[in-house]
Amino acid sequence: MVEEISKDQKFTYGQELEKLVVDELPSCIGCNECMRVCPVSKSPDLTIALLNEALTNKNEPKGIVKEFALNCCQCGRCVPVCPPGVRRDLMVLYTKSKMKSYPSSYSAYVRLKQPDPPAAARAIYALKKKTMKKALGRLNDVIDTDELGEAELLFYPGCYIFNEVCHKTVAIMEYLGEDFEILGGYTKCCGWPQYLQGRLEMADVFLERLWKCISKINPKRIITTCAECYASLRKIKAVYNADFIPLTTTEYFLQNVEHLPIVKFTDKKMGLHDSCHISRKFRQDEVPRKLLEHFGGYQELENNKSNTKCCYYYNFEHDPENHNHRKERIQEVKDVADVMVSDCITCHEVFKEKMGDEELEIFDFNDMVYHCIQLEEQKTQKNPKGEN
Amino acid sequence: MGKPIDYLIVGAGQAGIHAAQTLLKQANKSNITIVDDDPDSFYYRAALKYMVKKRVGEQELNGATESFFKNKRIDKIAQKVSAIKPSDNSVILGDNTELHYNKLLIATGGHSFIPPIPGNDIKGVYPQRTLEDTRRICDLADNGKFKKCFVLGAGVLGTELAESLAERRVDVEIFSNHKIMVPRMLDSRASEIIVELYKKNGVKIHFEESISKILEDENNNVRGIETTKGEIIDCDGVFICTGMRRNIELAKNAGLNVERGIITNKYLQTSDPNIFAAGDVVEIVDDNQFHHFIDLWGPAGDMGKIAAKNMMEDSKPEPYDIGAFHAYTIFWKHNCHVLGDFAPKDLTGIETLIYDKKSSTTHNYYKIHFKDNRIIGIISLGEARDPIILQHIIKEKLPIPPNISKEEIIERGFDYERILYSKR
Repeated sequence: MVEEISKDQKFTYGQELEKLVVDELPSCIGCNECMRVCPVSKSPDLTIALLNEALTNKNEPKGIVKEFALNCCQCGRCVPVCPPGVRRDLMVLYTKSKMKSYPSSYSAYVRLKQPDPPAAARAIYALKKKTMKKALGRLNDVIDTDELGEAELLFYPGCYIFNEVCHKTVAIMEYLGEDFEILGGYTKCCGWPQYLQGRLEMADVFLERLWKCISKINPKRIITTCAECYASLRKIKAVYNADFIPLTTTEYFLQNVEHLPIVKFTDKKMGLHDSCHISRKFRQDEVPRKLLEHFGGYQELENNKSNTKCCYYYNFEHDPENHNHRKERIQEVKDVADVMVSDCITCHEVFKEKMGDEELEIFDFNDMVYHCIQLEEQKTQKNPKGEN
Repeated sequence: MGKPIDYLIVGAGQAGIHAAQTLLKQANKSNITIVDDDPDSFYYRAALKYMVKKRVGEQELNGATESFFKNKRIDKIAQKVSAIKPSDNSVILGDNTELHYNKLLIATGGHSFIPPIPGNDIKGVYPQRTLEDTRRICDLADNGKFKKCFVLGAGVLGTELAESLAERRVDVEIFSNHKIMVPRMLDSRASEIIVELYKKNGVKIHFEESISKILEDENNNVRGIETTKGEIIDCDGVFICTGMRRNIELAKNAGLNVERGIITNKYLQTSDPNIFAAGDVVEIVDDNQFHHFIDLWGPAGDMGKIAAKNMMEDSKPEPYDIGAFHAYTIFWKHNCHVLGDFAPKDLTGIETLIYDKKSSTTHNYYKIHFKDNRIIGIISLGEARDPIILQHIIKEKLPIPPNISKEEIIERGFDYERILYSKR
């Protein structure tokens, strides 16, 4: 059950950033290593001193600092190279949180995504529900519902509920004979995108709302396909001292690998693209690697594990260089492999939908496991009695 | 006599600048004066290693923005302070100007300690602490003056300098009186791992061996050294990284209570209630009369902030928290963080877990000391694991919730926020 939390005890992202960013500012040694590895566009005049000053300044950031903060995609490449371990990514996020307005170029998504959906957002959702009714299947009944029963296992597609990848997750879970609930839809957003925009109070609302839903369902395990949802689940687990275990779908598949008909279904070389959140921030780069071994192995990219390169989704296309960066990443995969495999749905969607490279296939683990299940079903249909 | 300055700060280093920033933000309408005769101030001194590595230039190391020093409430005076007169609440500058203050902060830092080795004053013997020292080293290295060099001291500064010079393809060796690298931060296993990294990169380390004499040629330049084992080796540079001494003379001459540093209470207040001290110069005496020296970069800034708050009229005194020790550096891309009581003397009730795994690129060594269901100290080498969160966990003495095992904590992907918020 949701415990009543007194106001001073209540978790807020703002307080967290004050503690982990502003209080830690003196630790910055000014070595500039963070800016050396930072991939986004910035003015050559941008210095650590200016970035640090923006943190203690009460006013809204402006000029080259503001421009840089808007370009920051929160990939966190700056963190492992920092000698004192200060969180430059969160420092920039804190700077972002002081902005009073966002440029008009900064993606419609930013303006639409609010805890209480504005009319335009509601219309888009209604249209999606209508047009995708068939594809959604059982997901259709759970979108944005508050009628939540208890379940040991929860699948949390969040805002990605309309994405084909999540429909495959459901099919895989059904294949495994799981009894599970689904939590997803606009109002069930985890709030991480808002957090990464610096809209901290809005992110607080989403996070608390999600926790309330989860505590009603009271699951032991929660599975998600999205690295940002996963980050939020970890946050909820930490700040509310919750007992559930958050799992990425990749982790879930690995745990169930013996019950899944995973085979090496292609001779194409698979190049693993690490997610910034999962591999760098949460140090879980071994999970996708172990799972890929079951599909017949994989190729390491030049920039991998904690040194992975971002999909650049979370500057909301503000940085004009995003496209070129993604092209470089795709080339990096093509240098060693025929397929890009990702364990984050955001990375998957960005590279697949925004880049659409004909020479490179882009797989998500859900695609791959689902494909193996289909292969097995085809085999069973051809050979219903299991005869050889 | 005009109106006294509200806050006078001597020393525009890490502590002084953070004090000034805090006062600007929190002490409304007050005026602040910083006196420092170093033309380079303020710069990021802890990052000078990266200048030797040619990864940053002087411009990037400049830590004070134009708008900071242009702020109308801040006056910067580029002069030496020749005396402090606590009885008059004033200081005398090099040009004999007298400045009166309401509150004074001494943040004069320290200077390199040069051991009394014969030949320590000849050309080619360099300390390494300031921007000026670093500039000289870079110039000489740029001009190919260093073929073979020795670094005396295997502390953070010495090891960092040796690594930076080795990256510039200078043949460099380290001498240390100690048995391990950076004894202030590491244990023998961590030292072993790092020695291996230095060896791999061509840097030899002589433990329990020092330089007994520096030899000069006919032009008064360094030509070699004699080691304590009696060996004579040719070289063209000797770098002295044997620690620092605190700049206490002003305080001493002013009659303030000084020992090795300026004695302060936990509020960073000196023996004169209107005078505070912060940064490397400080020797804090806690409630149990233990003396503490905290000559680290981050804490110097923290001390500046705390001293500034305590200097403000009507402010509730805030003690400086000595317990949150955090030292760090990077050895050959291996992040090293040492937190809290990383080498407990009394092992009663202490449980220690170790993670020690080598991959093709990184050797991860992680040692955590637990006591009374709390993490009390850590040595972390390789990939850093949320050091800032760990620092808060240790500082706030947060208990480990019952649903988390120690074995889980030592594992690679553990989420330390689960302990950070455990008290809520």
